[in-house]
Amino acid sequence: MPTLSTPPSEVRYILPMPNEPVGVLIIGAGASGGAFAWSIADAGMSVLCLEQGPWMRQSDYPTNTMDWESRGATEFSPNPNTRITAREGTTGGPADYPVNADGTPIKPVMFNAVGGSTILWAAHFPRFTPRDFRVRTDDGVADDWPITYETLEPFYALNDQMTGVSGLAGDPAYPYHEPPLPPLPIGATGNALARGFEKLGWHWWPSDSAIISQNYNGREACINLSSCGSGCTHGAKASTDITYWPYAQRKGVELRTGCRVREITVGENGMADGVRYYDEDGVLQEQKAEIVVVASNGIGTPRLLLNSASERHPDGLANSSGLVGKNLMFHPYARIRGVFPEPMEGKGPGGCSIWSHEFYETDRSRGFVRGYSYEMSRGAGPAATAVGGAARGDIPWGPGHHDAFDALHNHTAGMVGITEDLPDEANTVTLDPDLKDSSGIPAPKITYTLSENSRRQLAHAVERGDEVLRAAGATDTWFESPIEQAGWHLMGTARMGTDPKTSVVNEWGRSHDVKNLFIIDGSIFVTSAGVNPTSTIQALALYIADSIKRNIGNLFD
Amino acid sequence: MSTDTAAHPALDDTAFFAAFVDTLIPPSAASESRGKLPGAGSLGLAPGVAAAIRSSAQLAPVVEAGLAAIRSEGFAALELSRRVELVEAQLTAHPDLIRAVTTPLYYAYYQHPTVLIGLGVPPRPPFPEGYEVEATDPELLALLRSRA
Repeated sequence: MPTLSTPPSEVRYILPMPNEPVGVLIIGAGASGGAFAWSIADAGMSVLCLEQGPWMRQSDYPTNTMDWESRGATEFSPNPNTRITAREGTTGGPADYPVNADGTPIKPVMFNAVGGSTILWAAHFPRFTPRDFRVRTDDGVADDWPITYETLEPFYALNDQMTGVSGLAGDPAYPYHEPPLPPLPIGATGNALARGFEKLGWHWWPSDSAIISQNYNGREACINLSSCGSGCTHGAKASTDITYWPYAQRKGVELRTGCRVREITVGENGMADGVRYYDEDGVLQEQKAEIVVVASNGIGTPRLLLNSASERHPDGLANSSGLVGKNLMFHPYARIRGVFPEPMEGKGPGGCSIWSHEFYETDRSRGFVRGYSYEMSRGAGPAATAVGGAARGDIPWGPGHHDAFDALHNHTAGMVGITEDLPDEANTVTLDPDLKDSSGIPAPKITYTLSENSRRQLAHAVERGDEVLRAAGATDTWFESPIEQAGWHLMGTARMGTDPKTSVVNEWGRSHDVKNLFIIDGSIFVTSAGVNPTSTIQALALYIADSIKRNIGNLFD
Repeated sequence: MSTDTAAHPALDDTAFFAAFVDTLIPPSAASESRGKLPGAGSLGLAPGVAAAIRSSAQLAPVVEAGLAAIRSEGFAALELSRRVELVEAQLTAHPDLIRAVTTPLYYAYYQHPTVLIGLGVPPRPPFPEGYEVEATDPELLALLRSRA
């Protein structure tokens, strides 16, 4: 049997049984992989998805137990390195791979399972705006996308239906669209903050949320478990394991879990012909396919392409442009919170209440280009209040402990500012020369510097956030900027474009270099906008699947 | 998991460590907004918190060194103010002691049913009952609809 350190070229395969070739092979069962699988199943080809993580069980999520707060910070931490440490010595399996994040002030966070990071996400579900696709034309920075809002609009709408989106139609910040469900209650915190925005005459609107406010497609409405970030036990929060995947499997899509792809293989004709992967028993397998689709997120995808280097592609697969792994964008976040004399309920979907696009568009008098959105957040549980307050120095130990805790618990509300991160080739995902995952596959290394434009946006977001919190009645405020553990949004590392010299995939996700290789996750973003990306990631995945189906007769021309 | 196999006499001294965590979170009388709260030591949290610290090869020696400097036979019998003085006197030499203990201690304390009852929080997991959330102010909604 090959060992974990055996170079691919020297591996002799002893397979327990051959894997039948498939038509479409998808790598990753998260936000994009689930949506794509459901759509491409209509093409009449056999479809297989390989996912390194397991199926999650809702009965295992922390909100089933009294220690839900501490479990959410350890075994269900969004940081894969924290989870690996927390699960050492357990039978949790090798779902997570380590990430060398020493070279970035913002740590990448993600989850590896069927559903991917939608298992732990906040489910805030804004679309990009039309202007987000043309920042070069409008603002003279970065690049325009090769597609427009109008290209994606039908797929945004389809995705909203499949996901079950709650919201209020008519937000003037967006082209008119109707979420399928009414908005979630914004709660005491949302009401208070909305009044602050009203006082200042600033834009605000109930968030589009991928959490159902009414029973929908066999799922029960949200009951405010208040811990969306460690998995939704009730199933009201959309994660693709409970939205797209049951429908995709009904259409005949095969999903194999515990399968970690080591490399994409290329045939004599220069086309991708499949992958080599470690199955759930750690046995190296080979899977042939006519079309290979990478859906492994903005870090996992460049990692896989770089790990697929060969004699024909010495710098990594699909990398003739040299841009695989470059232009990493995160969305630097600022957190601004206020203390209110009156009680602020801490319950409800933590990240889904109201948003504001008051400072979203470019106004160069502010000292930066492009802008940011605000996403209002609700309160924290007792333990998180105490731990966070202690870390900031607001809750002392000793005789003053209880009074300080009382002043904060159920008395805070606030927001995060989500800034548009512009692409910079110096921000990269590369392969770490030493760090490897439990299968011996080289791990990713992140190199990222916060730009001056981002710093100025963050400073502005903190100042204006303080202003609106005080307008809402806050008597004290604090902030964290940038938030360290907030690298949720992994974008730009295999960008799309029409020129093979300056992009990795074309305007419908097909590799310029390898005509049957597609990329469908946040890697292909040209710019990041100033809002959460998952709605756009999934709309892109549906659009690319639709493009493949429409071009099936001359797909590889 | 810990690779630290060293002895931890201060951490293992349950009576002393219970008095130490009771110094960090002392008992509190009821206030306007909540009921009476016990000290962390009297809740029996010390063994679990000590075990969590022992399991960390990084934290265990830091905490053990700090506790060893504070530990004395009569520590548990001292008034709170005197215990606070003894702890504070060691924080320059052992600056990471408090944070290393308070993170596992606060999680343990603020997830304990007795504390949750004192805070007026239902002493149960969030699922399956969930929680009630205040409805959106209808006046605010009407404002928005007029702008749609």
